[in-house]
Amino acid sequence: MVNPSDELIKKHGQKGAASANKLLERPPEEGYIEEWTELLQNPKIKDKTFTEESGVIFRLAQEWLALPTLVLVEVTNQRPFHKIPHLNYPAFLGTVNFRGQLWMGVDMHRFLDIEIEPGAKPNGRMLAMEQGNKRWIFPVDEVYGVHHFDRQSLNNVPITVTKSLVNYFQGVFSWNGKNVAYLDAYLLFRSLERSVL
Amino acid sequence: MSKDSLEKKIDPVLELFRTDLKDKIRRLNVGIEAKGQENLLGEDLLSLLREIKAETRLIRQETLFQLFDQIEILFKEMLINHQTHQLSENSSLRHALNLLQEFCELDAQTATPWLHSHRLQFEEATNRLKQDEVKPANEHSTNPPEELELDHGMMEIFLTEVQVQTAVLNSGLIYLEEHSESEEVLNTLMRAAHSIKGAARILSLKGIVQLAHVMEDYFVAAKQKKISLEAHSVDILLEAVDFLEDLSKVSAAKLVQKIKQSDQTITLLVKKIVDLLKAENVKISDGDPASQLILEENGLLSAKSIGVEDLNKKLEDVTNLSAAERVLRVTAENLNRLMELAGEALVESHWLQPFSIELLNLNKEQRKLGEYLEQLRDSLDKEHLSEKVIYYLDEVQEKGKEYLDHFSERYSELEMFIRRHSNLSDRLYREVIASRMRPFADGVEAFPRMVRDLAHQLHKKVRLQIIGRKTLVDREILEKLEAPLGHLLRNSVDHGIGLPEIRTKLGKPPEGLIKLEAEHRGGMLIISVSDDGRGIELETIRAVAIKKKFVSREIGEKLSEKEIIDILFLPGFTTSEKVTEISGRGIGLNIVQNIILELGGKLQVNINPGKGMVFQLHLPLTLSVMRALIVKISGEAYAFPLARIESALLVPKADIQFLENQEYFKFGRENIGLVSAFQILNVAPPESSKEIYPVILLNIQGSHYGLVVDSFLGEREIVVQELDKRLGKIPDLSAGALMEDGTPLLVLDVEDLVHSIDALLSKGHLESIHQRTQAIKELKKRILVIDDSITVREIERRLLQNNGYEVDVAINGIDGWNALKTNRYDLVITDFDMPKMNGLELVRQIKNDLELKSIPVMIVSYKEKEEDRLIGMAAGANYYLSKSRFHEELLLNAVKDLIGKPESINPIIKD
Repeated sequence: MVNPSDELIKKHGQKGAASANKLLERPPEEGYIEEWTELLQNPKIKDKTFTEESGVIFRLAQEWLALPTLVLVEVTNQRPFHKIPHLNYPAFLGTVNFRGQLWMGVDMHRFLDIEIEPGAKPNGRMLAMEQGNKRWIFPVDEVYGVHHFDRQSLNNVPITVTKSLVNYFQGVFSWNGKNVAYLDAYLLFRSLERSVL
Repeated sequence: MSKDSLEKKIDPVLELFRTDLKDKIRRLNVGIEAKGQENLLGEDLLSLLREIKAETRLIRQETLFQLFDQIEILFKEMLINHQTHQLSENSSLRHALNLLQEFCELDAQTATPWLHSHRLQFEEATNRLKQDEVKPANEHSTNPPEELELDHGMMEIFLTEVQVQTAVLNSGLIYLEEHSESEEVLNTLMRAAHSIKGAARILSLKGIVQLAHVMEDYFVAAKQKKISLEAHSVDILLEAVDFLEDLSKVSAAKLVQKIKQSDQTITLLVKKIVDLLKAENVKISDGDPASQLILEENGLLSAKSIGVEDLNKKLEDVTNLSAAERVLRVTAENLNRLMELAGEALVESHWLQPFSIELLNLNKEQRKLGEYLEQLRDSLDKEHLSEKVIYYLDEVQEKGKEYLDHFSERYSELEMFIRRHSNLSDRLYREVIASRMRPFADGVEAFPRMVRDLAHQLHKKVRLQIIGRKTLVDREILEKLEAPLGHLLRNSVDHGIGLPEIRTKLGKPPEGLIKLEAEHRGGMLIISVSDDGRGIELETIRAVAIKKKFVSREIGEKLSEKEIIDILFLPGFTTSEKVTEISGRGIGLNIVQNIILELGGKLQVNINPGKGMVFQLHLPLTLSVMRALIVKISGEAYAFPLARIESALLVPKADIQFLENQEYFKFGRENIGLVSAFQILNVAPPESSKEIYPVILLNIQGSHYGLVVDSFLGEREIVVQELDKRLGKIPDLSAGALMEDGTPLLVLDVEDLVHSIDALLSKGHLESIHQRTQAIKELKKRILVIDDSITVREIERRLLQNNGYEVDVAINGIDGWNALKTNRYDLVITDFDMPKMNGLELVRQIKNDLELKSIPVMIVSYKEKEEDRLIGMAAGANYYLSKSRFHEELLLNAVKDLIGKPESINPIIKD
């Protein structure tokens, strides 16, 4: 390795080098070494109680839900679905064009048994999600965006929540004064595969 | 397809293959046992193996193919190492052959399922052979890995280089043999050998360097006319090329090992070539023979540049000469993604035009605002206006005009952008589609060599001429054509072209000519294989067909020319007296035709007795783009492949008549029954009824059907894409696609549709197309019987039907599940052990399904242990009956207990 003072000598000549040397090789301040030894000896204890979770928050009728961001592919505009003949599962919407590919759509209101409010004005968004090559897309009424929260803050699902929903939740967290149900992607995908296809 | 053909399950092609295989296995066994006379016998066995391998590929038995591939590798290994006498002691080989023997001895009915269920055993046998292959190397290598620890990446490069160059060598050598010696081709050969040498030198593969070096020497000598190429020397050189080609096919990891094993072979090959050179007193060079010559030749070339055009022409004749186009490996998946994205970009670009029109409308409104202002100014009492008012009025009008000008500028910029953008996305899309295409030459590289070897073997002289090498062919089609084209060429060499003496007698040149031609014509890809051989006399075919009882004498004598030619394509038909290794078994043409049909094409034959035969393949240009008629059914878009429909008609309501509650119309002289598409597809009926019916006329095997749709949207080219694999095969559908505006559309499976229509008609469920039936039908209870054994299925079906129930059958769990999803049943009776989805899984699925879980399920199984019963009941079955205790009364009572008498108490109103 090149000694920095050598470089400085080249650059500033003898005189500059001398002052540089003086600067670089000055004795450390009192307590400096001890302080750093201490610091490096005990690596910082991480706050293990904090596990970050991230979910994309959206609304289905009056319910606020969150989908783990990991499985989200894209929030996209609503487009027309094409029914698939002979597949009559009520919550199956058929196929839709997503990025030029035909994806399978599901009516999440129906699937999760959420009543549609009369006169509701959905803002025409759809969520595309994917897990292990399994893909689904579903219309939602509103999307807020991604929210980060501490896993520890997840509460049990209150009993008031519709019973059929309980199966798909990891828990509930609060956001902007609202209770948001955090979906269990694995369970959701499994159940969609099983019942829709 | 009728029920019968489904249930027979005997695959005629497989049958023929098995009979054939039985004999070949016997010959293999004899060969293996006859130790000692190894060399002669070894070669024979090898070609026998290759033959079987080719057949397995043709009949598409991948597992068998893998197994024979591995056996072939083993044989080659033994042959090279002179160890054929050890073959009889190889337990893995024994094991594999026994398995095959077993396969040959099965009943016709069981062959297919047996093959299916023994897949694992075959794979295991293949793996055992694979392991054997590695073993000897480990024993021999004195000095394991570190000696030749080479960079993996470098080896990959070396292998690719060898692959490319051996292809050049192959075609070059064959060209030389057929034509007079040509300097240009020799130059190419020289360069190819030189490139291999260079690549080998980097990896210090001394043996290969040496081999490539002497080959190079040989080509240099030939170019300097010190030596002349003869059939014998070409054979030896091809042998070396073969060896290199084989080498290039091993994985990088095994390369070093393989080279070590082949040490002897390399030495032998080098010696053979050196001998050739010595015979002509050519000195073996030490340096780089070609590089000097290449320099020389470059000077020469520039000197006589007039001849360049001539030269180019010749060069074109030799395939892949300079590997002109660099070819990259891209996965099909990648390519499909690209295509979808490019398609989407195109769709998105279509959004811009309507948007700009909207802007223009906005602009018009704004202009109106200006006019109103003008009118406002005119109608004001000018005398009483304050200065301020006039000032502001002027300002408003001024600014208004200014903004309009601005807008016009921006707008024309937008227009320009739209034009550029849609042009760009259009070109991008076309380019991506084109990237699915490969030149015809890519798929036929191996054929000249194959034809040459075959001709030599049969003592014939045959030249293969390939025309239209640059014709673009869809990758997928090109891949699938290899087997059928190979077959047609083998046929031509074997049956078509006669021996040189005979040809001479007939006044033909001794050398036969086979032409393989590819061209685009009328939106189709036309590939033809023609020979100038003897052709076939129609009368010969007729006679053989009658003799071999393909047709009765009376019918046979009346057959037209076309019908006689059709006989050629029947499975098992051959005019050959003797079954040879090359052809004559009669399996081939039938399979060739099936593959072509599967690709959506057709096969035509022209026979010119005494003068030759032409096979012409008419194929779609690509599998991904299809011309289709787009229609609306139940308000949604569907596509009929144009090739599969007879015509599209508009039938006035007045022309429609009733006959036994069935609607039909007269088309020509024929009464054509009408069925509405929404009913077949089981979707909602259209909202309004019309005075004129849009009808699609389908013709399948002579029967006509008219399918009523909502409306025709027109004929279009669509890019098909597979529907989500998780959906499985959906009845009546074959694929999906997108419309120009990006909305999805579904491509209909016409064959399926016809089956559905048939099923609907025969069940008498056909509803009037005018309105939904309001009649209240007294429905009988419906039972679904699922069993993979046809006997059990039939017994149960008859029994239940005779007792008044309505019965549907399904052949396995998946089939049953699909039936359950689409129909309503009151009871499910299922077997336990079934392929695809077994009874247990099925029961679990039913019981986990919200809609279906209330349907009672009965298991009928030959598993009679109590624990099996418990497993079944735990899964949710309502009743368990073992087949050994099965008798009619018991089954009927159980059914009655579960669902009661056949008649539904509450008639169901169908809407």
